[in-house]
Amino acid sequence: MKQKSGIISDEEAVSTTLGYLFMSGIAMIFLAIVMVSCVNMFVDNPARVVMRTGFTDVGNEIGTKIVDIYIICPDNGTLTTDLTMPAEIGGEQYEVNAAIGSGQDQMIEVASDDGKVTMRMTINGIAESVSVTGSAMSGEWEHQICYNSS
Amino acid sequence: MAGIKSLLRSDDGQWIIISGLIVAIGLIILSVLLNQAMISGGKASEAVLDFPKSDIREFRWEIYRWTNQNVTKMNESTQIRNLTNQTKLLYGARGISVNFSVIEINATNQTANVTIFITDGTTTCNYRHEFIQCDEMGEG
Repeated sequence: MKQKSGIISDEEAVSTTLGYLFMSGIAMIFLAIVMVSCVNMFVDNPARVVMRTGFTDVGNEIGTKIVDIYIICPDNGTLTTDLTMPAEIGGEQYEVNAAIGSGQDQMIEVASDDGKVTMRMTINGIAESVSVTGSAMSGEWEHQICYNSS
Repeated sequence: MAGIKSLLRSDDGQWIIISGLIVAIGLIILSVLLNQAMISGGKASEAVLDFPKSDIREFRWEIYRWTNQNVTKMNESTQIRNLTNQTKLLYGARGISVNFSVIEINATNQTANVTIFITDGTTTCNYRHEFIQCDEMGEG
């Protein structure tokens, strides 16, 4: 029988080294395409989840301190307490605003600078009897909550 | 011996190794996510523990109680000094600085006006003008 020749009839495939290089190359190209096209799924969504959790946590911390201050505040006097906030949560800077809404419904809002994530926490309606105002940017590490009866 | 040689040459376990790699990568991703969740989960409860609410209330109540018992002797500066020194030592041991002074007292009406100051370095509370009606014990 006459032996066939040419690339079509060649059944020997490639060497182990070349096969390894081909497979690695294909895998790397695949990974690069996936990383570029699925940034939203792999980076943005987890960052958003981390931001939501972190913002809720910071808002609750501030809310808890404000309510605690309200409970023990002097009729005639002052009360100040230091507050530390992480500079970034999920790679984003954020702003805390304590004067969202009014009266019973007043809330603390923590919003990312890019505006993608905003969380709001209640302060148990204490703004009905005590005025709560102020805002803070996360760029500064140390902050202060001040109460003044006058 | 031949068994071990054939085992060393065997390359049939690729899928097992690949699945092992996938599981390892999955575990790393999960541990990183869990770590982030643990870091961000403690600030609210930390705020409750850090704030010296009970210390402030306790010191204020202590001043109320003491004034109630000693309103007739409060003109004597030694009495005030004794209380101030005692409370300073007591709270100083816990890293809290306190101060107390009398603005005015009325032994006839059993009333007193005092200032109360307490700080733990992070939180500072200043009662500038605290009116105490001595027969209303238990307030604060």
